[in-house]
Amino acid sequence: MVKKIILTVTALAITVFYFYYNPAIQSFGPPCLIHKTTGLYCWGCGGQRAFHALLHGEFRAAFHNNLLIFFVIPLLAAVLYSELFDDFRLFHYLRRRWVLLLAIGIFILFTIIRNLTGFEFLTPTN
Amino acid sequence: MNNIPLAGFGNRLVAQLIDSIILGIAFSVILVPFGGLAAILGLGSAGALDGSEEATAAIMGLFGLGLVGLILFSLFTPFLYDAFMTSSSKQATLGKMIMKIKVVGPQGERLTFSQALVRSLVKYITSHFCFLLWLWPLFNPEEQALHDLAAKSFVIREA
Repeated sequence: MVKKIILTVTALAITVFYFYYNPAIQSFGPPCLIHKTTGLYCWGCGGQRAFHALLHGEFRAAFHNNLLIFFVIPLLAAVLYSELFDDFRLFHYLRRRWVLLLAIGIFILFTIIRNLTGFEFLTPTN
Repeated sequence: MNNIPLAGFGNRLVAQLIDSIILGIAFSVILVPFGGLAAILGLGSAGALDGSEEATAAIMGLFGLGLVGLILFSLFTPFLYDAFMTSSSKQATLGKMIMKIKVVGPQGERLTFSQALVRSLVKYITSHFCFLLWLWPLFNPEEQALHDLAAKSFVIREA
Protein backbone atom coordinates (compact mmCIF):
# COMPACT_ATOMS: atom_id res chain seq x y z
CA MET A 1 0.00 0.00 0.00
CA VAL A 2 2.86 2.37 0.89
CA LYS A 3 4.37 1.68 -2.51
CA LYS A 4 1.13 2.52 -4.31
CA ILE A 5 0.63 5.76 -2.36
CA ILE A 6 4.22 6.92 -2.97
CA LEU A 7 4.06 6.06 -6.68
CA THR A 8 0.74 7.87 -7.12
CA VAL A 9 1.88 10.97 -5.22
CA THR A 10 5.18 11.05 -7.14
CA ALA A 11 3.50 10.67 -10.53
CA LEU A 12 0.99 13.43 -9.71
CA ALA A 13 3.67 15.71 -8.28
CA ILE A 14 5.89 15.32 -11.36
CA THR A 15 2.95 15.92 -13.71
CA VAL A 16 1.79 19.06 -11.87
CA PHE A 17 5.38 20.30 -11.64
CA TYR A 18 5.97 19.97 -15.38
CA PHE A 19 2.58 21.46 -16.19
CA TYR A 20 3.47 24.72 -14.47
CA TYR A 21 7.25 24.71 -14.97
CA ASN A 22 8.50 25.57 -18.43
CA PRO A 23 12.03 24.17 -18.99
CA ALA A 24 12.45 26.36 -22.07
CA ILE A 25 12.33 29.49 -19.90
CA GLN A 26 14.13 28.32 -16.78
CA SER A 27 16.54 25.39 -16.84
CA PHE A 28 16.29 22.83 -14.05
CA GLY A 29 18.91 20.30 -13.03
CA PRO A 30 22.34 19.72 -14.54
CA PRO A 31 22.76 20.26 -18.30
CA CYS A 32 23.08 17.27 -20.65
CA LEU A 33 26.73 16.22 -20.49
CA ILE A 34 26.73 14.92 -24.08
CA HIS A 35 25.31 18.14 -25.52
CA LYS A 36 27.54 20.27 -23.31
CA THR A 37 30.74 18.50 -24.35
CA THR A 38 30.07 17.51 -27.97
CA GLY A 39 27.27 19.79 -29.12
CA LEU A 40 25.32 16.72 -30.22
CA TYR A 41 21.79 15.97 -29.08
CA CYS A 42 21.38 12.74 -27.12
CA TRP A 43 18.21 10.63 -27.04
CA GLY A 44 17.01 12.48 -23.93
CA CYS A 45 17.68 16.08 -24.97
CA GLY A 46 14.48 18.13 -24.99
CA GLY A 47 12.60 15.51 -23.01
CA GLN A 48 11.50 17.89 -20.26
CA ARG A 49 10.39 20.52 -22.79
CA ALA A 50 8.52 17.85 -24.73
CA PHE A 51 6.70 16.69 -21.60
CA HIS A 52 5.74 20.26 -20.74
CA ALA A 53 4.43 20.78 -24.28
CA LEU A 54 2.54 17.48 -24.21
CA LEU A 55 0.81 18.43 -20.95
CA HIS A 56 -0.43 21.60 -22.67
CA GLY A 57 -1.70 19.68 -25.68
CA GLU A 58 1.04 21.08 -27.94
CA PHE A 59 1.77 17.86 -29.79
CA ARG A 60 3.75 19.50 -32.57
CA ALA A 61 6.12 21.18 -30.08
CA ALA A 62 6.45 17.92 -28.16
CA PHE A 63 7.33 16.13 -31.41
CA HIS A 64 10.04 18.69 -32.25
CA ASN A 65 11.54 18.69 -28.76
CA ASN A 66 11.78 14.95 -28.33
CA LEU A 67 9.93 12.42 -30.42
CA LEU A 68 10.59 9.66 -27.87
CA ILE A 69 8.13 11.30 -25.46
CA PHE A 70 5.33 9.60 -27.42
CA PHE A 71 6.85 6.20 -26.51
CA VAL A 72 8.17 6.92 -23.03
CA ILE A 73 5.05 8.50 -21.50
CA PRO A 74 2.68 5.66 -22.53
CA LEU A 75 5.32 3.19 -21.29
CA LEU A 76 5.58 4.93 -17.91
CA ALA A 77 1.79 5.17 -17.70
CA ALA A 78 1.52 1.43 -18.39
CA VAL A 79 4.20 0.70 -15.76
CA LEU A 80 2.31 2.83 -13.24
CA TYR A 81 -0.92 0.99 -14.05
CA SER A 82 0.87 -2.37 -13.62
CA GLU A 83 2.27 -1.37 -10.25
CA LEU A 84 -0.97 0.13 -8.93
CA PHE A 85 -3.21 -2.74 -10.02
CA ASP A 86 -0.70 -5.60 -9.57
CA ASP A 87 -1.04 -6.55 -13.21
CA PHE A 88 2.46 -7.56 -14.27
CA ARG A 89 1.72 -8.89 -17.76
CA LEU A 90 3.40 -5.81 -19.24
CA PHE A 91 6.77 -6.80 -17.75
CA HIS A 92 6.61 -10.23 -19.39
CA TYR A 93 6.15 -8.57 -22.78
CA LEU A 94 8.87 -5.99 -22.19
CA ARG A 95 11.43 -8.57 -21.06
CA ARG A 96 11.55 -10.38 -24.36
CA ARG A 97 14.88 -10.11 -26.12
CA TRP A 98 13.46 -8.65 -29.33
CA VAL A 99 11.68 -5.90 -27.37
CA LEU A 100 14.97 -4.85 -25.76
CA LEU A 101 16.75 -4.90 -29.14
CA LEU A 102 13.91 -2.90 -30.71
CA ALA A 103 14.02 -0.31 -27.90
CA ILE A 104 17.82 0.05 -28.17
CA GLY A 105 17.49 0.26 -31.97
CA ILE A 106 14.88 3.04 -31.77
CA PHE A 107 16.97 5.00 -29.25
CA ILE A 108 20.18 4.75 -31.29
CA LEU A 109 18.49 5.45 -34.63
CA PHE A 110 16.66 8.46 -33.22
CA THR A 111 19.90 9.81 -31.71
CA ILE A 112 21.74 9.48 -35.03
CA ILE A 113 18.94 10.92 -37.17
CA ARG A 114 18.26 13.98 -35.00
CA ASN A 115 21.91 14.99 -35.36
CA LEU A 116 21.96 14.76 -39.18
CA THR A 117 21.66 17.77 -41.44
CA GLY A 118 18.14 18.05 -42.78
CA PHE A 119 16.57 16.65 -39.62
CA GLU A 120 16.70 19.84 -37.57
CA PHE A 121 12.98 19.49 -36.95
CA LEU A 122 13.87 16.68 -34.51
CA THR A 123 16.03 18.93 -32.34
CA PRO A 124 14.81 20.83 -29.27
CA THR A 125 13.60 24.37 -29.68
CA ASN A 126 14.30 27.07 -27.12
CA MET B 1 19.06 -16.29 -9.53
CA ASN B 2 16.32 -18.79 -10.31
CA ASN B 3 13.47 -19.23 -7.81
CA ILE B 4 14.42 -16.14 -5.84
CA PRO B 5 11.73 -13.44 -6.01
CA LEU B 6 13.07 -10.28 -7.63
CA ALA B 7 12.34 -6.97 -5.92
CA GLY B 8 10.04 -5.54 -8.59
CA PHE B 9 10.49 -2.31 -10.52
CA GLY B 10 8.00 -0.38 -8.37
CA ASN B 11 9.61 -1.41 -5.08
CA ARG B 12 13.03 -0.42 -6.38
CA LEU B 13 11.75 2.93 -7.60
CA VAL B 14 10.02 3.68 -4.29
CA ALA B 15 13.16 2.65 -2.34
CA GLN B 16 15.15 5.09 -4.45
CA LEU B 17 12.62 7.85 -3.81
CA ILE B 18 12.75 7.22 -0.04
CA ASP B 19 16.57 7.33 -0.14
CA SER B 20 16.45 10.62 -2.05
CA ILE B 21 14.12 12.08 0.59
CA ILE B 22 16.36 10.84 3.43
CA LEU B 23 19.46 12.30 1.78
CA GLY B 24 17.57 15.52 1.08
CA ILE B 25 16.59 15.86 4.74
CA ALA B 26 20.14 15.06 5.89
CA PHE B 27 21.50 17.65 3.50
CA SER B 28 18.98 20.26 4.72
CA VAL B 29 19.91 19.57 8.35
CA ILE B 30 23.50 20.40 7.48
CA LEU B 31 22.57 23.32 5.26
CA VAL B 32 20.30 25.09 7.78
CA PRO B 33 22.96 25.76 10.47
CA PHE B 34 25.33 26.74 7.71
CA GLY B 35 22.85 29.36 6.49
CA GLY B 36 22.21 30.43 10.10
CA LEU B 37 25.93 30.98 10.67
CA ALA B 38 26.11 33.11 7.55
CA ALA B 39 23.16 35.17 8.80
CA ILE B 40 24.75 35.66 12.25
CA LEU B 41 27.99 36.78 10.65
CA GLY B 42 26.00 39.28 8.68
CA LEU B 43 26.98 38.09 5.22
CA GLY B 44 25.07 39.86 2.56
CA SER B 45 24.53 42.91 4.76
CA ALA B 46 26.57 46.04 4.45
CA GLY B 47 29.79 45.42 6.35
CA ALA B 48 30.37 42.26 8.35
CA LEU B 49 31.42 42.40 12.02
CA ASP B 50 33.51 45.53 12.45
CA GLY B 51 33.06 46.50 8.86
CA SER B 52 36.76 46.35 7.95
CA GLU B 53 37.66 44.95 4.54
CA GLU B 54 40.04 42.37 6.03
CA ALA B 55 37.38 40.95 8.34
CA THR B 56 34.87 40.78 5.52
CA ALA B 57 37.41 39.04 3.27
CA ALA B 58 38.30 36.54 6.01
CA ILE B 59 34.65 35.70 6.64
CA MET B 60 33.96 35.39 2.94
CA GLY B 61 36.98 33.08 2.61
CA LEU B 62 35.71 30.93 5.47
CA PHE B 63 32.25 30.92 3.96
CA GLY B 64 33.70 29.93 0.57
CA LEU B 65 35.67 27.07 2.10
CA GLY B 66 32.55 25.86 3.87
CA LEU B 67 30.60 26.10 0.66
CA VAL B 68 33.20 24.02 -1.22
CA GLY B 69 33.00 21.43 1.56
CA LEU B 70 29.24 21.45 1.30
CA ILE B 71 29.32 20.97 -2.46
CA LEU B 72 31.81 18.10 -2.13
CA PHE B 73 29.62 16.61 0.59
CA SER B 74 26.55 16.77 -1.63
CA LEU B 75 28.49 15.19 -4.52
CA PHE B 76 30.05 12.28 -2.65
CA THR B 77 27.55 11.49 0.09
CA PRO B 78 24.85 9.89 -2.10
CA PHE B 79 27.07 7.23 -3.61
CA LEU B 80 29.14 6.64 -0.46
CA TYR B 81 25.89 6.19 1.49
CA ASP B 82 24.68 3.73 -1.14
CA ALA B 83 27.97 1.81 -1.17
CA PHE B 84 28.29 1.58 2.63
CA MET B 85 24.71 0.54 3.18
CA THR B 86 24.65 -1.97 0.32
CA SER B 87 27.82 -3.69 1.55
CA SER B 88 26.61 -3.68 5.18
CA SER B 89 25.10 -6.72 6.87
CA LYS B 90 21.62 -5.46 5.90
CA GLN B 91 22.65 -5.40 2.20
CA ALA B 92 20.27 -2.50 1.67
CA THR B 93 19.93 1.24 1.95
CA LEU B 94 17.27 2.63 4.31
CA GLY B 95 14.84 2.94 1.42
CA LYS B 96 15.38 -0.69 0.45
CA MET B 97 15.02 -1.80 4.09
CA ILE B 98 11.63 -0.07 4.28
CA MET B 99 10.58 -1.76 1.04
CA LYS B 100 11.96 -5.10 2.34
CA ILE B 101 14.34 -5.63 -0.56
CA LYS B 102 18.10 -6.13 -0.66
CA VAL B 103 21.07 -6.33 -3.01
CA VAL B 104 22.87 -9.64 -3.53
CA GLY B 105 25.65 -11.06 -5.68
CA PRO B 106 25.22 -13.86 -8.27
CA GLN B 107 25.25 -16.57 -5.57
CA GLY B 108 23.03 -14.62 -3.20
CA GLU B 109 26.01 -13.37 -1.24
CA ARG B 110 26.62 -9.91 0.21
CA LEU B 111 28.49 -7.48 -2.07
CA THR B 112 31.98 -6.42 -1.02
CA PHE B 113 32.54 -2.71 -0.47
CA SER B 114 34.42 -2.35 -3.76
CA GLN B 115 31.59 -4.08 -5.67
CA ALA B 116 29.04 -1.84 -3.93
CA LEU B 117 31.16 1.21 -4.71
CA VAL B 118 31.28 0.31 -8.42
CA ARG B 119 27.53 -0.28 -8.34
CA SER B 120 26.73 3.05 -6.71
CA LEU B 121 29.23 4.93 -8.89
CA VAL B 122 27.65 3.57 -12.09
CA LYS B 123 24.20 4.32 -10.66
CA TYR B 124 25.26 7.88 -9.84
CA ILE B 125 26.76 8.45 -13.30
CA THR B 126 23.82 6.95 -15.21
CA SER B 127 21.31 8.94 -13.15
CA HIS B 128 23.15 12.15 -14.02
CA PHE B 129 23.75 11.04 -17.59
CA CYS B 130 20.20 10.41 -18.66
CA PHE B 131 17.00 9.56 -16.83
CA LEU B 132 15.98 7.18 -19.61
CA LEU B 133 18.80 4.78 -18.67
CA TRP B 134 16.84 4.06 -15.49
CA LEU B 135 14.26 2.28 -17.61
CA TRP B 136 16.74 -0.51 -18.33
CA PRO B 137 15.39 -2.92 -15.62
CA LEU B 138 12.04 -2.86 -17.41
CA PHE B 139 13.62 -4.68 -20.34
CA ASN B 140 15.97 -6.99 -18.44
CA PRO B 141 14.64 -10.50 -17.65
CA GLU B 142 16.38 -10.43 -14.27
CA GLU B 143 15.40 -6.83 -13.61
CA GLN B 144 19.00 -5.68 -13.58
CA ALA B 145 19.73 -2.00 -14.08
CA LEU B 146 22.98 -0.90 -15.73
CA HIS B 147 24.61 -0.55 -12.29
CA ASP B 148 23.55 -4.12 -11.46
CA LEU B 149 25.08 -5.37 -14.70
CA ALA B 150 28.31 -3.51 -13.86
CA ALA B 151 28.52 -5.03 -10.37
CA LYS B 152 26.90 -8.37 -11.30
CA SER B 153 24.28 -7.79 -8.62
CA PHE B 154 20.58 -8.49 -8.25
CA VAL B 155 17.91 -6.84 -6.16
CA ILE B 156 15.64 -9.37 -4.46
CA ARG B 157 12.88 -9.47 -1.86
CA GLU B 158 13.89 -10.27 1.68
CA ALA B 159 13.05 -13.79 2.72
